[in-house]
Amino acid sequence: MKKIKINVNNLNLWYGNNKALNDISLDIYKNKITALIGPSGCGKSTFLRTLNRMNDLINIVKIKGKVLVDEQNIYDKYVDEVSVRKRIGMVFQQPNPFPKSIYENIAYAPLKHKIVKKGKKCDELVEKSLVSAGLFDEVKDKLKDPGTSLSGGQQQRLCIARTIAVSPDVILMDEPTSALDPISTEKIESLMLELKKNYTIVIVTHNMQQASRVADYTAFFHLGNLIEYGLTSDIFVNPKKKKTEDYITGRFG
Amino acid sequence: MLKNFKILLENIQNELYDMGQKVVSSNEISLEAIVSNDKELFSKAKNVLNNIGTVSNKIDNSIVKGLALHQPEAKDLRKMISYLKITNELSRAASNTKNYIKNFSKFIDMEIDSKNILEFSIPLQKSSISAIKTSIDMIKISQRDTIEKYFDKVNVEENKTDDLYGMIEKNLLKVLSHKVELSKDYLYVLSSLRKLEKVAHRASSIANLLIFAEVGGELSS
Amino acid sequence: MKRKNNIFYDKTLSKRHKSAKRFKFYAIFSLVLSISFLVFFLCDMFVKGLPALKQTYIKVDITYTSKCMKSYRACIDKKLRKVISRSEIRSIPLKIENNPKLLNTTVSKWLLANHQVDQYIKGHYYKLKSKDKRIVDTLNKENRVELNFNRVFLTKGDSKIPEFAGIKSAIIGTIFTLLVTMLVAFPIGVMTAIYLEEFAPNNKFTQLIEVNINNLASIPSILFGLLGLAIFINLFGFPRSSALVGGLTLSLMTLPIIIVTSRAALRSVPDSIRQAGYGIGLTKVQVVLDHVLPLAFPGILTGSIIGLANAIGETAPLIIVGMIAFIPDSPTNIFEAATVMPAQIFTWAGMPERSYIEKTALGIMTLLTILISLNSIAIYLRKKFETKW
Repeated sequence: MKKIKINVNNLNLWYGNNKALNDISLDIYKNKITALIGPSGCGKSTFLRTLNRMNDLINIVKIKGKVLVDEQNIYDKYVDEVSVRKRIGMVFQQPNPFPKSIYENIAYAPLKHKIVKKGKKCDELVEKSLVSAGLFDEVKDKLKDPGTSLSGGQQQRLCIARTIAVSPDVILMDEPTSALDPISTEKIESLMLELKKNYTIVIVTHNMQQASRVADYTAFFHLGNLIEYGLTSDIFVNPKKKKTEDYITGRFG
Repeated sequence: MLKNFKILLENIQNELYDMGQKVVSSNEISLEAIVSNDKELFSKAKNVLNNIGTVSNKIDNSIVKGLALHQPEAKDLRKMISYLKITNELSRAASNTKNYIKNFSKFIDMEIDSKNILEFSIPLQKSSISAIKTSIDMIKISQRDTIEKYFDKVNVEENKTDDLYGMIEKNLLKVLSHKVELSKDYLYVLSSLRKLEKVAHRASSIANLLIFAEVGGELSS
Repeated sequence: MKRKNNIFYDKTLSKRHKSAKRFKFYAIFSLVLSISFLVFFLCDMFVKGLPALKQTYIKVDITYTSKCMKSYRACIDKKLRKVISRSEIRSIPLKIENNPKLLNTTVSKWLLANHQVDQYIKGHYYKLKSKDKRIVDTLNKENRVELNFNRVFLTKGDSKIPEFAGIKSAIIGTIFTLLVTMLVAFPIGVMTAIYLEEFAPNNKFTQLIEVNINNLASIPSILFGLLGLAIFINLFGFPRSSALVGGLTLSLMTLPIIIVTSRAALRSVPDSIRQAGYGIGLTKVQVVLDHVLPLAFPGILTGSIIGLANAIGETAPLIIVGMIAFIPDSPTNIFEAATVMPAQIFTWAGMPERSYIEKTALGIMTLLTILISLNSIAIYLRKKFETKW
């Protein structure tokens, strides 16, 4: 029985006078991977960022509509955006570890949120996060080295580990493997399949083969509109809308 | 390879193997029916092949999904394509078997010199069964030399069926020239035995496809 | 020529190459010209200032008698009194007081010579009576005259007696003043920069503040002196000529520089760090203080040290505030009257005695040495704190 984790209701977004998202409604299911695909500038990254209120950091953005996470609208006046981002974490396109040691990268946020205290509990949390991200064996002897001394793929897994450390419910990934080589990409895709057992994952990708490989559900965006949303196997074998078909077969975008 | 694709491939392979086993088992039971002269076994053999069409469609759709979602290349691609063609071959082998069962079961009730016919038809059937069984076993084998050995065996058995069928045809036509009034029955028997030969052909095609999948090259019939 | 058969031959290339060479020549020529000005200046300073490193000392017999205690002139041979520095002679009674055992003894010591004698020995223009000149020549023949390292320069403050003038009180005054400047300008400047860069909303008011801060950096420095005079001395009543007032005035001058460089340093931190911080649910303050600031720190540090180095060399505002007074003793706290090195140099440059010329030059060299070492510290610190990306 699939459960709805995030329910988006008539979401509209303006950048200043530009309307970027047009009346989007869709459901993100729990413990599933949902992919957002579409040509450049179609609004998929913008949409992803509305799911954890990252767009609030940009002054000229205006939002209308509801985003309900576990039936609570995250845009309500009394909901603190910082706590939203704790529950809904984000991994970015360019790996961006903090310029601190590997250990501190992961331990910083949990210590600040007071999830753990310094010491053994913290060490265990760091180890657990690194294991979940599939990075522990590669870095267990060099936890004090700077985070930036790792390779690109390892840095991205470090960022994933850092996001997992605060125990979010949802992990948003904005083109997580576009800056990586194919081997690292494959490692991270396998990681996503493992992670979905415990987390709900939403990923934006401009590489639709990636969406077809890992996602359970796929949403196709075009010029700020949601054209089609459904099971990945339906979208890629029997798309209902012609625009979807044209995009997937490479006839545009 | 991503885990979900690996699981999908394994499922397709298992289902194809099971489908093949159905065809093999149907043939084996019908042979048993002839040897023990048990008419009931004939209907049992036919029932084995009951939903073979649904099974074939299911495998085909899984393969379509696998191709769409995972864009396999090289050996994975060849495997998927050959499995797609093998479901067709197996479907036709299944319908050949069903035909054979329907027609040959009537034969038992006929007034024909059965001993003469059975002397050749049973080896023919055995060869045909061996061919199809070996080709289905090839599905689950991954070492190249074993596959090539099995491929040779399938071809040998297929040749045997060709020879055996030729002999039966010669014999029956000889008998036919004496008892023209039974010609309809005899020709009936001949055409149902021809179906067994066709099953062996299918087996050979299947083996060919599996060699293509494992070793490479181009598709050729 | 084989060249023309070559498929890569291009007619216009030689013209372009020539024009590139010309441009390169102009650039090198400008560089050489500016360096030569610098070299000329340094050589001039060096030549003038180096003699100040040595002072003339004369070996003299001092008789410590009780008559000395009343009138110090009696302690030394009358002839020699004209050639010995007055500073040495006048301190003899004190010595006897401190050490009564010296009474009725005769000691042979090397004493500082008169500044005219000093100039004569060094071969510069001098004004000596021929009588005194002969005395010095005699002493010289007896090897009782020596050019020795100038102990006085770094250990004594300013003095009306040229040979006894040192730069010590100016150095200490500079240190106190700069301490005040840094303690006031650095925190205020950095926090202003953080606010303007990270927290301020992007409206007309903020833009107005930005424009004004940039303008402040180019206001003539003497106006800051007037500001300091009006507010710190007249309104607040801080002691005139003190390091406190000088420091506060200089901090007002350094603030725009620190704010502008800190803002540039903060802006140079890539936005991906901030996004990463927000993405895991950190508040703005946590992101700025724990992640952005450490990365911007080398840049901020460099900017502050540059501002500091600028402040050291400022004379005009400090003149208005009174630090150009004659300060012989080193200040002991920031409330006492003090002077700073540029002011001291300015004062010396205006003195009539010739020996002040070399002291001025040596003072300039001291100031330059301190500035260069400050800049080197800036570079070293920046390299040390630079986190490798």
